[in-house]
Amino acid sequence: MLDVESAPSVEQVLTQLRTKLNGVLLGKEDRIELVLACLISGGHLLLDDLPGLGKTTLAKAIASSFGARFARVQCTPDLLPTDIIGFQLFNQKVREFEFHPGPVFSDILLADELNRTTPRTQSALFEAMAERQVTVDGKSSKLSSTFFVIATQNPIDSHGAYPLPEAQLDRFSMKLEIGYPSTESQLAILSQDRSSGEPSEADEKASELPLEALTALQQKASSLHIDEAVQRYIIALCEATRSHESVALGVSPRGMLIWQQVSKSWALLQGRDFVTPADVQAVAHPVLGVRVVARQFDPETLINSILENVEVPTYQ
Amino acid sequence: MSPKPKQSETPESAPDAKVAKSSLFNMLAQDGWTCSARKRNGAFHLALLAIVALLHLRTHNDPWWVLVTEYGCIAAGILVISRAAKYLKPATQLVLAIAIGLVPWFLDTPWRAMNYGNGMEILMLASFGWIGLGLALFGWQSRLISLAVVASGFLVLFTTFISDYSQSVLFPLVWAALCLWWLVANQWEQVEACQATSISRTRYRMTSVLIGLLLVTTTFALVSGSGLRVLHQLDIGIMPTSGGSKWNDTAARSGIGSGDAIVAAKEHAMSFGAVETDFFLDSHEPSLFDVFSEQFGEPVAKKKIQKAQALAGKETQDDGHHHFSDANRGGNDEFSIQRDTPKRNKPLDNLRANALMYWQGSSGIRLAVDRFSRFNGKSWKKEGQSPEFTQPGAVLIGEQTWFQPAGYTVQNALSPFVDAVPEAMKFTKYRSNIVPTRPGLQLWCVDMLDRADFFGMSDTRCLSMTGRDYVPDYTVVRFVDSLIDLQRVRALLSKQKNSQEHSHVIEEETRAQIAQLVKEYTQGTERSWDQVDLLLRNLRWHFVLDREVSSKDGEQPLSKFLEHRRGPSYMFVTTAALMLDELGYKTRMARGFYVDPSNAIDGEYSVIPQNAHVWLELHVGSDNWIPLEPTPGYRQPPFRVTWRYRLYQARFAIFWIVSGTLLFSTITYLFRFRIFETLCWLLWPLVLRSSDRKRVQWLVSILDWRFRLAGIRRPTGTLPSRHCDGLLQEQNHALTPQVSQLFADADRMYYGPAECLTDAGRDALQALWKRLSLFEIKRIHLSKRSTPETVS
Repeated sequence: MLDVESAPSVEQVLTQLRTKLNGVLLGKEDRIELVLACLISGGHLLLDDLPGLGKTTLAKAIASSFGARFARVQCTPDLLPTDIIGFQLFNQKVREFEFHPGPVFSDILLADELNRTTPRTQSALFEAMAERQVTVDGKSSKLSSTFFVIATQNPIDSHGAYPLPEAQLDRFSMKLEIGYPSTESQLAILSQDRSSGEPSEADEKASELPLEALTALQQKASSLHIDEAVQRYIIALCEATRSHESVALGVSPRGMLIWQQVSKSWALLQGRDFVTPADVQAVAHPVLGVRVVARQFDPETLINSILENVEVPTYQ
Repeated sequence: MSPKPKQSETPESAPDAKVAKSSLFNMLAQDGWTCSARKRNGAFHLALLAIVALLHLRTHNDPWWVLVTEYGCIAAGILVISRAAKYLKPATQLVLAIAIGLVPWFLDTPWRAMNYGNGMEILMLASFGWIGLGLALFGWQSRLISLAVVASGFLVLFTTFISDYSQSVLFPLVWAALCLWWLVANQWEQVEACQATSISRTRYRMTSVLIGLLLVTTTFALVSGSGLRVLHQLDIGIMPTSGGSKWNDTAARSGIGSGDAIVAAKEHAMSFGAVETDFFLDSHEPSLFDVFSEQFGEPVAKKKIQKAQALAGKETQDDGHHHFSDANRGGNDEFSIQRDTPKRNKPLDNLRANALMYWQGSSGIRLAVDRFSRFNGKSWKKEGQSPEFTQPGAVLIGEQTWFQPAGYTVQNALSPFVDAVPEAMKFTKYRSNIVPTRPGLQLWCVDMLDRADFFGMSDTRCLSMTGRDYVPDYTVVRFVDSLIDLQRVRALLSKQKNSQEHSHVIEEETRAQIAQLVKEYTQGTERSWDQVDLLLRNLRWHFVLDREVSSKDGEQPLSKFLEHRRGPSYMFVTTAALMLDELGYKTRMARGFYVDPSNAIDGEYSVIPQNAHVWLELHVGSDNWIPLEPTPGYRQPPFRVTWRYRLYQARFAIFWIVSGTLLFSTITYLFRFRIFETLCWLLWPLVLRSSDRKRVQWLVSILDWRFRLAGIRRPTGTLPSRHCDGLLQEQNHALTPQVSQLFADADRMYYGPAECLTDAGRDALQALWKRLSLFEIKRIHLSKRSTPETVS
């Protein structure tokens, strides 16, 4: 357990996290804020972007920030559920089956190119994501309380891919696109690569935050105050997604809860202990982007349209 | 308005360099000028065009050498001023240029000495044109150049308007095209600066709001204007049908007794204002007697005079609505159905020229001058031997004396008459002392006339100017008439019992014929209004109006009418009367004038001799009679006033209310910023007394309204803080910190644990309330628009 007196404050944890992640993924401060919001809300993150943009680096950086167990699964069509959740193996010595845990028994799991694996394997992962537990041969095993999945998918080259079903997408808290860095950031990346090598293991250890700090952050975010007016605003937005003529699938109640949780995390990141309508709007795009299925417009336009047309609380 | 871009203010801006180099403007351009050469160039050409337009007008009157001299002098003057431009101040140049405009006046003196010269208006126009040209050439400010353009436009339009030559129409067309080019070329930057950066759909658009406002106003005006009781109108000085009081009818402003007024009335023949009523004027114009007896106009040829039913062997007369020879007042109490041979009516080329009177009121009505109660088989007779006249009662309403029938209440529980409608009549060539009136007359007056003994009301409710030979020309008589309520008529008729005795005397054979027709036409219906209506409709349907029908010697016109089912209108009236008599209804015949709807002139109706008419009146109990129309081709008497007439009556109320509303709306719109900010200023002390929560609510609402009025309405889904920030941050405005502070505090108070604003938050609230005014928002918005976007 983390010693209360030696435990870093929320501000310190966040500052340290920001510093580390911004140092890893240059020029993407806004994306990192959202990743942090997702992490603090206890949800899972889907990165929908091209290869080589730093997804793995980001995941590793998050894991290393907390000294958490990190695992990476490269999803392929021949990947089996047991490759992810683990399997029972008969031990000849003790004449018993022994459970060999898979990568899901980590704190942070990077599922690379999730849409390349079969739906069966995807489903196995989704159970772990939703329930934070896995069941093998009728025996359930709890996963880490800070289990955080960063899944990636490649928006191009969809040949031979298994698109994630909408129902399963709802397990993710948000979908993000990292995008290419700016020219200045790219210059900084090149300079960084030339000037500095890999940090030493000792340095890594020294800068690690205790995993309990993440748990504390998550608990702090959950306990944030949210006014009824803001909750009504979230409901109005969700209902607008359901009744919008261009939306095939709106936000589910689970999605609504996730949205509220992410909004709280965002408020925490802004240094507030209460949620405002601005927080709800700030995370609307990544939260809705993963769970609203548009019929005709692109999701960004649709989400903008919904945000523009739902009346925002104005201190009445 | 956004500030004018500097580029267009400089005289030698790049696009105008070519013009400046190659023209007079290069010579004129100098320091201190704040308008572009392009603008000046356009204005110069427009002014020149105006002078050419005037020249086109003058070339037809003035000899060429006069024009050459004048134009040469002025051109020389302009050249001298332009040469001396560098030594003169701009204002001095302009004064000299305007002085050049006086040259036509100086030159006109010698021309007049040589029997040439121009009229005053041409000289003024010429001066106007030259001064405009001077402004275009030597005006040093943009507004002076614009003034030159306006002057040129006026001159072109005015000269075209007064010109008799069709070619002159080309000048305004060319001027309009050039002016459009000039406007686009010179005002484009301003237009661009004012264009909308984005358009957001709003529920209440300006147009729909304006239309709605107009509709509401018009409806209100209509209801209030037409719904205002007539007596109240009189009380507040609005004379019915006069178009208001004596102050707003120019032809009537002087009232009776002014020499101007009679001139005005004659010049404004359609005016219903009070005019000179000379009761002693004599005239050779046709009288009412002439109208009905046809002694006015061509004499009746003896050979065409034929006999009719009433007086066998005697001369008969046609109905024609205008040939009742013995029907005039003055002892003759008999209306004969004798007639002369019908005389073809001349086409009514000019309703004004033939008008006996003008009627302002409902159309399709009948104005009675005489009534006959009994048909004796030959002719219609009155009850008494000689008419008895009763002097009317007088009542003072406002400053006007009104008269009303004495001893008789027009409207009561047993009367079919309801409501009140103002109407009026102006006499022109009418030569009788009988004033045609509608049934249900309540009040009447002649402006400034207060003597009741001028009038007399006969026992048949016919109004006369007793003691006068005729109603003087241009006399305006105003009426307050009643309307007939059909529902009441139905009720009254159903309460009446059938009369057992026949009022009219006819031969038994004819009565049998009549009875047969009645049986056929009424189809067994009971006594009611429907029965009367059915009977009349059948009569109108089965019989044909034919004014040309004549009877041979010894032939009974009524028998012939019943046999051939064809005849003039008095036969319809007689037949209808006999039919209704057969059914037990009491009727009488009325004669007078039919207000023909097709005689409408400017909303009034000309009553001409051809509108003389006879019709029937039905007794509906007590002393009440309602008109019936048995003759086909004439409208049924209206039972209610039309909306068109109501609208007409309410026209001034509508005008004033609509004008007032529009004026008020315009002023409010023009000064909306100032008005709103004044209200905000007045509201501030109240806001100070309220809680922090209320203050924030007030401020957000006020800011929303300010943004809306400034044309940057906050979208529904945009947070107020973000909307303010979006406007202020780009301009790095001094109020940006206050906005952040206030909304952070407000968020904490509304969505967080705080109970009130911090001191800094309160200061920020006050600062935003007072300093982020509508003017400031507009200024920031405009400067934001006019700032070119930077490409990042």
